[in-house]
Amino acid sequence: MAEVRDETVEAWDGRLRLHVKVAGDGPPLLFFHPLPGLAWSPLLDRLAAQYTVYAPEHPGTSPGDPQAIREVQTFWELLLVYEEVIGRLGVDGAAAVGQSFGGMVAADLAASFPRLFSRLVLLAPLGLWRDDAPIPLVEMVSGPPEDMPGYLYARARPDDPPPDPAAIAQGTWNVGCTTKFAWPIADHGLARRLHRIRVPALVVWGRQDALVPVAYAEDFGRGIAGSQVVVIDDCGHAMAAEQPGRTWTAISEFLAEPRTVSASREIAAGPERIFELIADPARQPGWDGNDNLAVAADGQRVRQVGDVFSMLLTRGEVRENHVVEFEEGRRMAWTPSEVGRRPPGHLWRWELEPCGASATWVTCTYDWTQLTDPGRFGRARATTADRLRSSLDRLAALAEEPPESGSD
Amino acid sequence: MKVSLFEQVPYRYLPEGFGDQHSSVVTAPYDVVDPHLMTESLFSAYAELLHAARAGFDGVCVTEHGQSAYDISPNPDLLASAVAYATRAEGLDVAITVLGRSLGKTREPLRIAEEYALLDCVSGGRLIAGFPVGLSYDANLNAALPGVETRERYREHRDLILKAWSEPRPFPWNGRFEKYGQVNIWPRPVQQPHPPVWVPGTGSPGTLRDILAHDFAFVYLSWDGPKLVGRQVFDRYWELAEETGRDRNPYRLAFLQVVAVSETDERAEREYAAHLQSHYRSGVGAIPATALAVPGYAEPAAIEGMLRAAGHGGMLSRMHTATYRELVDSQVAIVGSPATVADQIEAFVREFRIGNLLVMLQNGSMPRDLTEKNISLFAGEVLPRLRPIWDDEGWVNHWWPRAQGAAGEQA
Repeated sequence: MAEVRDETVEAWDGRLRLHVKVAGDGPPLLFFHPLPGLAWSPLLDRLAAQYTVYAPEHPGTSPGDPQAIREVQTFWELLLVYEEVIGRLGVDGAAAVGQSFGGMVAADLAASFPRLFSRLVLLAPLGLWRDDAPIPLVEMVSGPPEDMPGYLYARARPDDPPPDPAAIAQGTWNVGCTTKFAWPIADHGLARRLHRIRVPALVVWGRQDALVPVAYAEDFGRGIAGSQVVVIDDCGHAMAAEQPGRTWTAISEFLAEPRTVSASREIAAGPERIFELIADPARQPGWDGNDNLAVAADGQRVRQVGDVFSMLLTRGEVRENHVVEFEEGRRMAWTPSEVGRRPPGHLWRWELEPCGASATWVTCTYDWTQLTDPGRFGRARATTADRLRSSLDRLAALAEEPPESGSD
Repeated sequence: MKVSLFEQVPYRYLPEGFGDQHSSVVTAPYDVVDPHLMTESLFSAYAELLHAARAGFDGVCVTEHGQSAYDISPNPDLLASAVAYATRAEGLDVAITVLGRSLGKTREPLRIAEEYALLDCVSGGRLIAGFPVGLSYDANLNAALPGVETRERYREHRDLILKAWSEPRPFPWNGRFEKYGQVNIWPRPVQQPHPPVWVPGTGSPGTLRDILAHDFAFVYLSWDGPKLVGRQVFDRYWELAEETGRDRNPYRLAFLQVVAVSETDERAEREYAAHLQSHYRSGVGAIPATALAVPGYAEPAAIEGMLRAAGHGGMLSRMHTATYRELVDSQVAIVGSPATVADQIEAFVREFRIGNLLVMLQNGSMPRDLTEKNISLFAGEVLPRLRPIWDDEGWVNHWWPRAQGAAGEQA
């Protein structure tokens, strides 16, 4: 188990001292806990093996500080508190994982502050409501304790030992603190804000979820552009407990998904000859391995950073490509945009390195780390190293052709 | 001392074993109800309240519970309004205690201020204003307000109502839960600055301090009788009173007791046993424990205290299965001949310094004729023994209506 330390973060003009559990090392990752409060779980251990996990405790749920919940009056205030805490921790731009109630919090943070997270994982989040799939939150929270597992698990589980009165009291209070912002229906209008989430998002659901039915997976998937949805079979609401392996696979594959792909090869030609095929946009459709580029006008040879060249795509649209890196004969990178618009953030880069007298090591990179248009995530994902290799091979074929023999 | 009839409004014809299968609140299935018998149940409650007023009780008392089979009283002011008019018309000087509209449950506190003020006017200044928080199931499930906000709402609503009654000019209210530009209710209470305020509770120290700080009266509304957990609550109350500089005026304290009187002890058992049991088994005893403490309603220390106390003391966890004998032996219900009942009541009233007594004489399936007999016997043979109990100490009951010639129209 990871070594977990407790950090206290002052927020909300000094009225709150929020406890944040921190463990692991690696890039930062925020975890937002479900209704009963933060319990350090095997899922968090697995995350801590690869990330520095920051898991804030919802106000009022930290033992010894029950009144902290009084300082946060509305759900909007809760979001502002977390935005402050994330800033104080210096982990803006981290990936965020939210489970159930924490999923609602993470999703609304991502919608309210579109640059707060770089990636978003939602594990059966609350936050939406549809009349044909009511969420029995009130029934679960106010019902007999022995009914609780039925809401959380697809299959019966061995009975846990009964908690002592202090633990029951803390657990009950914790649910009071979280349900303050989920009562009686956990709907603060998130459905109307989902479109503002513009980072890659993963939505994971247990097919047998008896608390938040799996029908909501589709709604989140549709509402968050470019998001991926994974539904796990034989799995209830507490997916990380019931299907830890599959839940972890879905999360870790998503979080580890490369957003920079590249391919390299040697081409039996000098860098100047190859560079000409790249820096003159009119030549690019000749080697494009994506069947993406149709035609570019002559006379657009790139000479410096800041140049913009225009390209007609095979789909019929025109792209303006903004050159952001340029070194004659060696390196060139550009970011495409629609005509007159700001580039959405993805980038193409070519790098040439002479090797020997008449050969060049050529590297092509597609980088969508900064891509902010979720509508393009699908195509970005489809731009694999194989596609780049295809371009490289065609580029090599062109560059290695013997010069046309003159008619003379 | 002052003695009031405390009347709830149960559906009196619940099927046998109802409480074994169903909750008596929130999800209680309405399809067990025969509409004619519902009408009869409700009408009986009105009639019995009036019967008590005529029989010589000092006051009558009603409560609010929504979505409930054991007290069909979503707004007790409706019931109180009928009683206020009828007693005034008959010239009966009886206090009307609404115990009350739930201040932690309401989404419209000014409506409570208005209704209470109207009741006070119609009754000629005979209103006692109850300021209960509201039970968790009512505030947090029926009204669906977050448990953790219940008491915050209560405090704001209490302050708003008191100000609405006493502020002569329109005023703005910028609360956390309520915002108004011009508060200027019509009518205002006859009793100024406000009618006496009674606050029911289960006796947590925080609530008791708050009651004493405002100089309200505390009503210990348990279903446990005086014996089981009463002592610790009453002792705590009087200790806190001393600590906060309040006197030992017994009228600061009101207590609810279930009572059934007949000609003899044997006859009382024969007449009442089944009805009393039905009240506990299918009424208050069929409220699920979780519905009385929805998460957030009680703070962690209070929950832990309740859990640790559950094993010893309170009847709550056992009510559902309690036998008649257990109810009587524990004094959860005091049953018997007038002498038996008066002896037991007098003993605990003196011991705990209770100045305002509420007696619940209708329970569960008890029919109107039997209830009216209970009321008549109590008023005729028990009440006269209780009334002079505190006379020798000479206290003034500041928590009793300052009626404006309450004898009403015929006076």
